[in-house]
Amino acid sequence: MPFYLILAFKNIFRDRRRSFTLGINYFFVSLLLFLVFSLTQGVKKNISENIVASAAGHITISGEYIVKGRTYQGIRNYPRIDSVVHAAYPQARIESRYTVNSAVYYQGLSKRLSFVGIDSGSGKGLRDQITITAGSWNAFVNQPNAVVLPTSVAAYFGIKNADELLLATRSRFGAFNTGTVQVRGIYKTGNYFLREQIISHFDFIRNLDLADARTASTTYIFFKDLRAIPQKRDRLLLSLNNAGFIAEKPAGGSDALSAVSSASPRNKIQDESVNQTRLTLSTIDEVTGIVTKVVTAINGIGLFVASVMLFIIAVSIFINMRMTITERMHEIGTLRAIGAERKDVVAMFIAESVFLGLVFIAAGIVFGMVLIAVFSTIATFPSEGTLGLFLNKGHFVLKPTVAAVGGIVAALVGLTALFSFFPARYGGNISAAQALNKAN
Amino acid sequence: MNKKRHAVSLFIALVLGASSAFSQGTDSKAAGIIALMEDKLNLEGSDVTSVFSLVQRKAGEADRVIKIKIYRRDAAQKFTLLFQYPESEKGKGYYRSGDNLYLYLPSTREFVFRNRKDDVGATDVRTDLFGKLDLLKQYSVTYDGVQKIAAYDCDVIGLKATALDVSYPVQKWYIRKSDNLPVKVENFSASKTLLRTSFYIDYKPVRPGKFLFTKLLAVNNLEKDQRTLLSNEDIKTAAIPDYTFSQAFLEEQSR
Repeated sequence: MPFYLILAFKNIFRDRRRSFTLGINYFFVSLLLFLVFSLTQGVKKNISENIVASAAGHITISGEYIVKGRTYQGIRNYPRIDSVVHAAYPQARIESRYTVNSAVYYQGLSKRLSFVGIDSGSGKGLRDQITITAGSWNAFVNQPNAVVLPTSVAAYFGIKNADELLLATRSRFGAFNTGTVQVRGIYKTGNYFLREQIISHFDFIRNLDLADARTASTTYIFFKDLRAIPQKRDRLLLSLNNAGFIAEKPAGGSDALSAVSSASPRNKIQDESVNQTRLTLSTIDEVTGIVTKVVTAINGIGLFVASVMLFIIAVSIFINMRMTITERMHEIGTLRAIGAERKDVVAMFIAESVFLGLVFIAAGIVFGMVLIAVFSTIATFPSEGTLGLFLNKGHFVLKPTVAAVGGIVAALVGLTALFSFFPARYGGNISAAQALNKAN
Repeated sequence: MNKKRHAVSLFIALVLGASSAFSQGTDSKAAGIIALMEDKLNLEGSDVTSVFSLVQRKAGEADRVIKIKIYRRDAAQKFTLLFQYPESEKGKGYYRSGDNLYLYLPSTREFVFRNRKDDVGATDVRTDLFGKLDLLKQYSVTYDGVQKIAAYDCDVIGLKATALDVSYPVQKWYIRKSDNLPVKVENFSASKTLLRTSFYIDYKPVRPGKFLFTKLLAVNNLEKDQRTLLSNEDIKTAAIPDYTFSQAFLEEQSR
């Protein structure tokens, strides 16, 4: 048997034109699939990392509370929540934030913008995501009504460092409130989710919203060990329920996403007059669940396109193999005459196709890796617009995986073997005498 | 007989205003002035129908004109407001019952709850303007002296919200000494930044002792050169069918 495999390997480029014509198909299909899977894995990873760095934790606590029949979005008594989480996981980093949408007025211009209030001592996650181009982070930290804003906002208004802005917002209870902030830093960032965020102080933004001292919008929990996050969330649910809160998982992906995307609180009036605090604990996978759906959709499109190309390949393999067998009748007859069995002939032709496929699949994947290396490290793209979702510091994030490579190879090799089998079987069924007769 | 009834209701309003002021720890003189003013502006006892024209002016933009028809019944704390012009706004409307305000959107045929606070057609005029005033229930009041506004000597009344569910937690009302009608109202944020100023330019008597403003200028103090002029025309006091004060009426009118 091995002799026929060696023969098959030597025959790969016997008919160069035909081999290259078929091989190019393998090359492009494998390249397409490799890049699509790498891109989707990269997007998923990039979005998860960017969200965790800016707008969510490994577990995000959000919720609403009811006071005298009115429901308000946000977390009440967040210091108590923090202490419960700390007791369960002393090594975890806990960060509470207050978020508000407010109109900003500056020299006759106005725009509605999102403000995130952080505890500047623990807001290291955000600090690491930005590059200050004017002003300084320390200046922001040392001034209670200071803000750090993105270059896009500064450019829109024509704001410079140390300028003052007027904010006007409708507070959570309905009353309008205003405040004056001073710009102490202007930043640029590669994090898509931070691009329009104005960073300010937690207490200032909470006071602007006229909320009491124990209120926050969300609490983020970050773990060093990222294993078993759902189990950690279950333990926290138990602890918080025991502490008197009503804590639960999000009802679905959209609930989890709204936990990290909701900004200005809304209030709704109910007939009940209970005082209650309801919490929702969302894991990062739930928050980015919609990303998984988008990624699956992109993979699906890629697979569909690849399937069409594979179908073309399959037909090419079949026709190619039939032509090859017809042309090599003399060889088949000779092999059968010297003792090759039917299965050896079949195996030889299948192996030929498989080896050809493997060579060009390998070429396609290697070329894909070169492209990934270029787009990940050398090529730089502007981060504006939705393209920023795919970029990290201006470079595309493409994450090839062994599983993806294995899957591509297995699928293409399997397809090749399947569509080579039928014409190869035809060749194998011909007797030595028939083959030599046909050859003459 | 009408004059006697009016005097009695005035007396009751004053007493109620004073007692309310005492219960909230406010200035009784200021409360009395507000009570008198509300008595003149609140139109209990009659239904009122009128057509308002709003002209909003913004710097760098063309003037925006909106026409709305309002049906008002202060005794039941209800009003229905229907947009008539322009075509893009036609069919929209507001329905208020007590503290609940609903905006009707004909495009989606749904009612959106607004909880009393909304700007009419995104102008500088709030829906609060069209209904019954109840300032002493929502604010504590202080007497801040006398000022001359456009040739009128006015009592200046400061208002501070007792709960934060009002749009403007701090207000200043300038009320004419001669007839207890407001001339100017300044609306402030919780941090006392002036947000909006309304000038009551003219009034029309609806019934003896009852007045409706016919011209008002609302100025947005945050947006430069943005103001809305309100004209109130075609005022009628004929009885309005009860059906008019319902969400169904709004839906029907938009068809």
